[in-house]
Amino acid sequence: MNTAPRARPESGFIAVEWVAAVALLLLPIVVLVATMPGWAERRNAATVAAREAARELVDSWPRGDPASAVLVAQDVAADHGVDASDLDVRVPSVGEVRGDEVEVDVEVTMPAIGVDGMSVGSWHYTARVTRRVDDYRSR
Amino acid sequence: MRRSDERGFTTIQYVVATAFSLLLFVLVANLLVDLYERGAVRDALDEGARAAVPVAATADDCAARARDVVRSIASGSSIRVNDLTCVQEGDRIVSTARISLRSWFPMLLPDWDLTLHASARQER
Repeated sequence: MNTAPRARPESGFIAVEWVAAVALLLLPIVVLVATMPGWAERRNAATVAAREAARELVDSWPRGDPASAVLVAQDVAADHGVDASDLDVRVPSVGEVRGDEVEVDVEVTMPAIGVDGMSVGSWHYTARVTRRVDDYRSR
Repeated sequence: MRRSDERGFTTIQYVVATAFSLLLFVLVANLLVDLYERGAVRDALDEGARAAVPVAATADDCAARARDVVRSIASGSSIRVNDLTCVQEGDRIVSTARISLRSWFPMLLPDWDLTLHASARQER
């Protein structure tokens, strides 16, 4: 009786396993890791855009024009690589009288997964900046 | 039945596959460092533009501040600032930087050349 252990066919076993591991584990993690800095960048872009739009309104007070604030926000966001179509700028308050607060909301679309122009899914982040119109501001 | 000789087979395959995986990791690390440096230069340009916001400030203040910030948060051999300028455009100050982010594997990926801008409205 032959008691020698039977050789199992193992050729290609590691290669298949490795490809599966790379496809199922490594690549998703790499894509996620490459996506996350984009969220921080876009969050920063929204904050800076809202800040500059609010400054535009306060500096121009009492003739602050929400439309020009929107343009400023879009310009600043474009400098940070965020397209205007990914941006929603709202001006809840332009500051009617001295001591009022100017409020600007900038909502930016975040790609859920996004690497180098390709993106899947999205979520939104809103940056709100408030600036006070000086109590003794001249008109 | 004769056992097939597989000595070394798995090891070579493993080493090659691991090498490619590690290369991928290093390329991702390169990308992350590049993204950090891009963000740092954008912040520096923002800082520079904001430094020129006060009435008495000039474009030179903008450029000096931007250079200081670049030096403090993104110095090193992996970034080269080719040009950094600030100019007045109407009532806005616009800072511009042309940078080159060095590739860690020049044979695989070229350097990443970027032109970045920031702007702020000057006080009147």
